[in-house]
Amino acid sequence: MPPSQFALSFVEEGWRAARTLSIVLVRELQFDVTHYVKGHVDSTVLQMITPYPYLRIIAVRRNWFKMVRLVVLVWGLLRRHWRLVIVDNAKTYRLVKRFANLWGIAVIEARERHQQLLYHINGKALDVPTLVQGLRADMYHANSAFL
Amino acid sequence: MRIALFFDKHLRGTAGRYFERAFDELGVPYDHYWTRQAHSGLRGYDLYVRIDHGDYRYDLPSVLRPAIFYAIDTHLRKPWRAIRRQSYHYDLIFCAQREVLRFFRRAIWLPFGCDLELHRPLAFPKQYDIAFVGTEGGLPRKLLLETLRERYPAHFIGHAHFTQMRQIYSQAKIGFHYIGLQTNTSSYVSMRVLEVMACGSLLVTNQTPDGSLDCMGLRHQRELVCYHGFEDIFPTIDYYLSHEQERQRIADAGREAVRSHHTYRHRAQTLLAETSVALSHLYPRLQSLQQWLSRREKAL
Repeated sequence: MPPSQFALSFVEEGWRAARTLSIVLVRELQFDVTHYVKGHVDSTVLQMITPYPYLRIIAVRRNWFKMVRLVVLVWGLLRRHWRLVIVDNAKTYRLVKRFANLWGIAVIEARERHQQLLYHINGKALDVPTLVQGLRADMYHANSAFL
Repeated sequence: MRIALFFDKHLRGTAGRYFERAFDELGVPYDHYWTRQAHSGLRGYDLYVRIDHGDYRYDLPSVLRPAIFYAIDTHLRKPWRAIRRQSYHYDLIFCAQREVLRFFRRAIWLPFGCDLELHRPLAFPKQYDIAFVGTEGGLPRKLLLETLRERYPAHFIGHAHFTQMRQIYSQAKIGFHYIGLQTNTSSYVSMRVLEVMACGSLLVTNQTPDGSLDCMGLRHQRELVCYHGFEDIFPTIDYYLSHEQERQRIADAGREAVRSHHTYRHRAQTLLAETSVALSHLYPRLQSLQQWLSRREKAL
């Protein structure tokens, strides 16, 4: 079944937290996730990464990243495409949050500290199972207001 | 013969500590000072040695001579600028990276070493297929490490206290290392290379473009294993995970090579010997260092 929900991820500082969450979203909630990684990555390295259906990784050169970030975000929002956006950088979080408030999308901060994966929605810390449970409730129950 | 050794002791696992222990082992008479103490009228030493500890607020004053500097963080942008600026105040620079020697007037390559007290094999069962102790780093290292995590579930990839390193590497069949190739200064033989080998694990790494590993006598398929390109990483690791005898043979040879040529004691000896050779014509009192070293070598 093709995915019905779309998520966007801007990877600038970490990788592990965003990657782990995206795999869960793809496998358990049938999301379509696209990672935009800041910086040049050799195509051989991208091929080495374990592939999952509906999980894409796009490496964007540093000079282009700011522009690509804005274009992708606005394009998706105008089309009502994104359900949630994953970020790991404070500046990007502030930018995305401005748009998110206008269009009503969820922004998840995904970070790694001392080997622990940390996820925050609106400043509230959540672990992956709680996050999945909440997202699932949002998908299937009209009166759920997790995001 | 008396030496003044300068570095800050904020962290326990710094090169300065290793050199301090090496000087103790060699019986070199020295006094340790923090770099901020350099301006408090320290005189009467035959040699002033500064070991890079990542903070460049204080420098040695020009009256303290002969002075040498072991520069380590030359692969980082901001420290590199500070090191270059301060390098003019020293008679001789030792660099952990071979690639940067050409930027200094008078510099000698002195790669990292290992401390056999901290980096030695322990009798633990090999429970990890692969181990990497360190930060995630930038691209492509963080992607590679996460891919290794996903492919080899029995792993230790992450941060650990420097005292736990020997335990982790002793429990690992393979120690992974990636030498950054983005710029000339990012490709160098880091501490991890020697730490993995000293702990009796097989080191799987990529080759530095300048051939530093070969220059150190660490050869592919003899003392360590090199992968050639990203696509070669998984086949290389898989091969050595399934060929235990070969893996153990190379790991043992690597450990022996590191023990006999690449400890901080060897580095301290080289530092003093090279200094006396390079500077004794400018500072005749360093001739006594040369004599002292040869006497010490005979005694050891």
